[in-house]
Amino acid sequence: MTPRALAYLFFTLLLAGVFAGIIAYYFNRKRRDRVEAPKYRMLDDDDPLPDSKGGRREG
Amino acid sequence: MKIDSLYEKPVLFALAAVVVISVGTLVTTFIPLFLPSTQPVSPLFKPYTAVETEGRDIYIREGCNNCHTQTVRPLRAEVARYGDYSRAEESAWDRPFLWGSRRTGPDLARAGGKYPDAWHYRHTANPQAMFEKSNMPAYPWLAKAKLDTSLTARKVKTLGFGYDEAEVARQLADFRQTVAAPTYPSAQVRSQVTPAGLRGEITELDALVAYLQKLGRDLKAARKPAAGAATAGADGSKNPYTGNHDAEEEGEKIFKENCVSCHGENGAGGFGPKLATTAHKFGGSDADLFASVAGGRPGGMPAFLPQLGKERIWKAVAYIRHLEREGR
Amino acid sequence: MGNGARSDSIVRGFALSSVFWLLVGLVLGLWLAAEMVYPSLNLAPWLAYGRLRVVHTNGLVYGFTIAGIFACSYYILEKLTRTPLAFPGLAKAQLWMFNIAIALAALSLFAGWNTSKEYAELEWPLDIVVVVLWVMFAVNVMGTLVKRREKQMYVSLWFLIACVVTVAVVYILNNLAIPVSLSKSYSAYAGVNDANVQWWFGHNAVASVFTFPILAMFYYFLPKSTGLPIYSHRLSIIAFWSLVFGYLWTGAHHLMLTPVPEWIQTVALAFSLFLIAPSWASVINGFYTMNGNWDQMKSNYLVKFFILGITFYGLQTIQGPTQAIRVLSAHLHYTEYIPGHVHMGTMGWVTMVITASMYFMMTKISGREIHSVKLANVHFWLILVGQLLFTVTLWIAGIVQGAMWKATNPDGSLAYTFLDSVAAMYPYWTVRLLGGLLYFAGIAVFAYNLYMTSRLKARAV
Repeated sequence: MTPRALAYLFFTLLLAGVFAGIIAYYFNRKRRDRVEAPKYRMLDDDDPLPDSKGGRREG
Repeated sequence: MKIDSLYEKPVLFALAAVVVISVGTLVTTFIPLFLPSTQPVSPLFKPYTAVETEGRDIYIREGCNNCHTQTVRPLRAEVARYGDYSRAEESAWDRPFLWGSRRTGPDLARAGGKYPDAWHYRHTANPQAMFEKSNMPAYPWLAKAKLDTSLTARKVKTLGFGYDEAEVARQLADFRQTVAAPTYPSAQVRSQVTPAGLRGEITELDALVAYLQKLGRDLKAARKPAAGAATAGADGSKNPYTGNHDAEEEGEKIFKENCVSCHGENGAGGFGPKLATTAHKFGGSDADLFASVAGGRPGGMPAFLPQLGKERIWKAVAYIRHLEREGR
Repeated sequence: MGNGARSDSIVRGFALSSVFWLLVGLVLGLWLAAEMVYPSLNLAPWLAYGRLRVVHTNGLVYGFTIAGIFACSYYILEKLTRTPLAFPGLAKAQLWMFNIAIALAALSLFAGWNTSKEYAELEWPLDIVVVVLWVMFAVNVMGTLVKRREKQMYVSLWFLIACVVTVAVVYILNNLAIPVSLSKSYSAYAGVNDANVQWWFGHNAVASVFTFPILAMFYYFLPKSTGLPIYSHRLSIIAFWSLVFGYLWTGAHHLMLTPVPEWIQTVALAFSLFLIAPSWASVINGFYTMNGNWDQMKSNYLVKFFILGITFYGLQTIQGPTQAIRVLSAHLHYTEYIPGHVHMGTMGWVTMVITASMYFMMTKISGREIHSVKLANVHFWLILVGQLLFTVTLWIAGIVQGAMWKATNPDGSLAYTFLDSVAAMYPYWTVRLLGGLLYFAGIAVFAYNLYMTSRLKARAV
C-alpha cells in the first residue's frame, strides 16, 4: 500500500474508533437517566417566567 | 463526570463546537491555502488586460455565472463538446473564481477564439435571433452603456496584474481605436447594436466580448495541435455521399442545427462566408471543405470534428454541394 | 404582555418579517421559473435572470430563513432556559436593523453589486452589516444561556450554539475581500483556493442555516406539539457531534472533477457518505418519537408538517451524498437535478418545519387557537404537492439533460447539440413553474392563516 492509502486507512480507523467510543460512552447504562433527563424537562417549560407580572398560565 | 458538564456550560460548549468545526476546516481549506500545489502558477497563463478585467466585472455584475460554468471536466463527451479540460493554472489570476455550478447555458471556459467578435455582438444583444430555442436573456443595453473606466487602474493594481496606470491608459486607448476603426473585422455588426453616439467609445458589451475572447485562449496557444491533425486521413479523399439524396437531406438538418447561425439560411452568408457558391474561401475540393469543417479555420470557424464526427461532416459537405447547385 | 415571555413582540416581529420575505422571495422565484420558459420576461437589467436569481436565493436564505431562525431561536431560548432574553432592547434593534439590511441587500443585488460567490453575493458594506447583526444575535443567545435557570441544555440549544458559531466562522472567512469601491471588491483568495473556500462556505451555510437551526426547531416543536418526549436524547448527542464534525469536510463535493486537488475531493466524498449516519439519527429520532402515537398524524394538524419535513430531510441527506459519488456527479452535476435537490430541502424540509413552528408559536403568543385548522391543512397539501411536482420534475429533467450531454454516436461524435438539450427542457420547466405556483398558493394560505392567528391577540386584549 502507498503511504497515502495507509494515511487514509489510519485516519478512517481513528475516526471510526472515536465514533464508537462516543457511542459506548453515552449509551452506557449508568448515564442513561442523566443524559435522558432534559427531554422530559423540556415538556413542561411553559411555566410563566419568574419575573413576569401575573402572567396567564398556558396549557 | 467532566464530559457531561459540557452540556451545562454554554461558553465551554461553544468553544468545543468551534474546535470540532475547525478540524475539517483546517485540513480541507486552510492548509491547502498555503500549499503551492493547490493553485499552481504558470507563465503560460497571462493575467487579464485592462479591458478584459472590466469585461469580467460586467460578467460578474450581470450574474452570467448563474447559468454558465467555466470549467471543463475531464470527461470524454465534455472534452468533445467544449474542448480541452480545465487546468488549475488557468485560474491563477481569477479573483473571484467563476467556475459556476449550473449549465443552463453551455460552458464558456473554451469560448475564446471560437467565434468572431461579431457573433458575440449579435448573440448577446439578441440570442433568440440566432437560436430560436435559446432561453438566454437578451442584453441589448450593454451596447448602449459606455464603459466606466474610472476604477480600472485601481482594479488592476489591486489584482496584482503587474502593469501600471500608464499601461492601463495605453491599453484602453488602443482598444478603443481598434473597435472604433472601420477596419475592425466585426465593425458592421458592432455598429448595428451600438448607438451612433457610442461607436467611437468602449461600450460595456465591447469589454464583455473582449473578456469572452480571452477564455481558454492561453491554453489553446500553449497546446497548439499539430497542423492538420484533426483532418488527418481526409486529404485527397472523396465525399462518400456525393449525389446521395438522403445524405443531402440529413446534411440539411445538420446544417440547420450547427451552421445556419453564422453562414445564414441556405448558406447565403453572415458572419461566416457565403457557402452557396463554388468560390470557397479555403478551397472547394471535398478534402478542403471537410478540413474546414473538421478542423476549423482562423477568424472564427470552430472545429466540428469532435462534435459531429466524420460521417455527419461528409453529409454536411454533401448538403453544401447541394447549396452550390442552388446558388448557381 | 399576557403570558409572561418578555420577548413575544420580538418573536412575532421576526416571524412576520420572515413570512414577508418568504412571499417576496417566492414571487421572484416564480418570475425566474417563468423566465426559463419565456426569455422575453427578462424585461430590464434588474429583472434579468442573472441578477434576479441572486435576489431570490439571498432573499429566501437571509430574509425568510434567517428571520425564521431568529424568531424560533428567541422563542425556544426563553422556554428552554426558563429565562427572559438577556438583552430585549438589543433584539428589538436587531429586528429593525435586520429588515432594513435585507431591503438594502435586495436593492444592491438588483443593482448588480454582486461578488458572484454563491450565497455570499453581498458586497462588503452589507457583509459588515450582516456580521454586526449576527453578533447582536450571538450576544443575546449566549447571554441568555449564561443567565439560564435550567441546568442542563436540551439538544435544541446545542444546535442553536452550533448555528451561531458556524455561520460566524464560514461567513467571515469566505467573504474576506479587498474593496476597490463601495460597490466592488475582489476575493482575498485566487482561483482554486477561492473555489475551495467558497464551497466550504457554501456547503456549511447549508449546514448552519438549513440544518442545525431547523433541527433545533424540529427537536423542540415536535415534542411540544405532540406532548411526547423525543425518542432518544443520547442518540441526538451522537448525531450532533458527528454532524458538526463531519459537515466541514464536505465542501469540495460541489467541485468534483474540477481542478481542485483530487485528495480534497476524495475526502469530501468520504465524509459526505459518512454524514448519512448522523442525519438519519435525527430521522430515526423523529419517527420513533411518534411510535404508538401515529394517530396524531390525523388528529394533530402540526404533526404531519414535522414528520413529512424530517422525511424530506432524510431523503435529502441520502440524495446529497450520492450526488458526490464521482460517476453520479459526472452525470448530474450542472444539470437541473441539482436545483431539484436543493428545492426538496428548502421547500420540503426547511419550510415545512418553519411554517409549522410559526403556527405553534403564534398560538402560544396570542393565547388562542389557530385561526383555521382547515386552512392549515390546505396549506400543507398545497406545499407538499407543489414541492413534489417541482422537485421530481427537475430530477427527471436533470437525468435527461445529463444523458443528452453525454450521448455519443458510434464514431465518438456527440449525439446532441447543447441547444437540443435546452429545447428538451421546456416541458419540464413548464411543469416546474406549475409546481411553483401551487407551492406559492400554499404559502399564501399560510401567510393569511398566520396573520389572522396573530391578529386575534389584538382583539382579545
